[in-house]
Amino acid sequence: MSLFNDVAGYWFEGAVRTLDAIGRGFGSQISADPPPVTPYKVVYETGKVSLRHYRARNRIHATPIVMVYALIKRPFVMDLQPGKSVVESLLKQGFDVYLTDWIPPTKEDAWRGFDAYVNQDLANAVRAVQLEENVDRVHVVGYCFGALLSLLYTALHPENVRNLVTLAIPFDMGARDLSFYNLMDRVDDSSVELITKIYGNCPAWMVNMCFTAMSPIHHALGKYVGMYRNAERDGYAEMFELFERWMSSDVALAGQIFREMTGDIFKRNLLVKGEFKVGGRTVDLKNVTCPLLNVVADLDDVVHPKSSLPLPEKVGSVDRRNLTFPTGHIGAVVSAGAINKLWPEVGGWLADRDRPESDN
Amino acid sequence: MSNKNSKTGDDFGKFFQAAWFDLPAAAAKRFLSSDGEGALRDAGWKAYDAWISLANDASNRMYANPTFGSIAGRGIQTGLQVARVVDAVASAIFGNLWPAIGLPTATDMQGLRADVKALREELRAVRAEAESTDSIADERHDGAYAAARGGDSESAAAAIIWNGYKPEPKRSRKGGKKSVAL
Repeated sequence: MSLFNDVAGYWFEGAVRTLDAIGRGFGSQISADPPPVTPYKVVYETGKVSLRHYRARNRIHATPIVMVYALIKRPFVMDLQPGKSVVESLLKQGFDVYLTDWIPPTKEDAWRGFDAYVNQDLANAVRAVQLEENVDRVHVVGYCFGALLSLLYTALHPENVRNLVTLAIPFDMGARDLSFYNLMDRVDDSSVELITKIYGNCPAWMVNMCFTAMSPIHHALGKYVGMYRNAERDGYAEMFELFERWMSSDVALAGQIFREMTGDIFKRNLLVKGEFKVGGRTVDLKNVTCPLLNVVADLDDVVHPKSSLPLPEKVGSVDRRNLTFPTGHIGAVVSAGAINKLWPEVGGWLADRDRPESDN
Repeated sequence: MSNKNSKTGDDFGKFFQAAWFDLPAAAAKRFLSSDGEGALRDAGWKAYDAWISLANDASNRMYANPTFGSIAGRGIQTGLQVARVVDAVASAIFGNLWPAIGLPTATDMQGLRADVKALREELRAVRAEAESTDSIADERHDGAYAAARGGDSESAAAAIIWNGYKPEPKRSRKGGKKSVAL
């Protein structure tokens, strides 16, 4: 009987948490973030990006890392708990880390597309790091949607990037191995236009709904039963709570970038075809000539591995490779395995290429 | 497609085995001896895992189904059109008709609240400024007065400034307190 009572209790707490998230507009209130695990200083803010600087205690590497996070959730998942933080792992390896904290767009920001985010905000953020650190180039590490922004930035501004790491990048959207993608195909362009007409942006609740619809059984039942089964495990409950908080930290997607993402990238796959334009300029992936490490989560059920794996073939880099790791989309940044094995490997790869002579 | 079919078959086989063989066997063992608790729990979780896998598979198949996809796509479109109409009707009612019958809109209320908040802040700032001015004046006066009386050389400048004026204690504002003539 305890099973049903406990699972019902967890389910009830989850329902209250969701209602609370709806009430505060999901991740639109930055103040709802949990307290940071690693201390940082905001060194720059412009447009819709705020740049956090995490300083390494024993800095070894000259080139700083600019970590580009996704636009659709809050970035605290990169620094979730002591011992389960990507930021902490990279700092321990002797890198200074700059993390983009995207400011949620308002209705007035509906005009913002890839051009505004890549050529303005991200370009300004990288420039700020160059000035702050007095360096010519930076390492760019992007996660999920942030990896896509990083790739576009590197293709359009190759002179500023020493090394590029893309993690779980939604690249080749021709791959239809996730059933949810098939469902998205049925949402036509006029629906996307309607969304932007009514709301201006793609609202946070809609972003949340998409994530929930990707694995409905897990969100309706599986995670609560998982909580019951692991309740005795040390630290599991705290991690579950933080993780749930992050899951409901969805942020609205600015109208224009939502249109470009769903139409040009998701449906028409223009980036892979070499026809995608940012700010009137066609993105030529052959311009990406710096070393590229493409990290693919083998069990990713948000971005299918098949849509990430073809990236190295399309860029102009000589030093390029895929690194597959047996984890899920989010496990790649929070699981103990990823923190203990994957990120030291990523850090090692960057460290090996932290010399100016590795410039291409 | 054949991969999907074989996975579903595999999941179904696991569920069938767990639900119809392992679970009853573990339950019987538990019934006959007192040490079968762990085996029963394990069999239960095995059946649950197999069921979850089947349910996930079913939801994936549903998403991949063209009929479901087109119904869902049409549903989303219809929902959005309804939302747009509701939005337009609401803005027509609350934008023009509502104020016409003399009722304030949510925007008006928000505006009023913002005004009141701003006024309160202004008042607080003015009060704080007045208090600090009073206290500075009192301090200066007291310093100058003491310097002039005591001939404190350090406050010579203050002694020069002090002209002997000493303000009366503050009176309450007119009408602030009603007095009664007896």
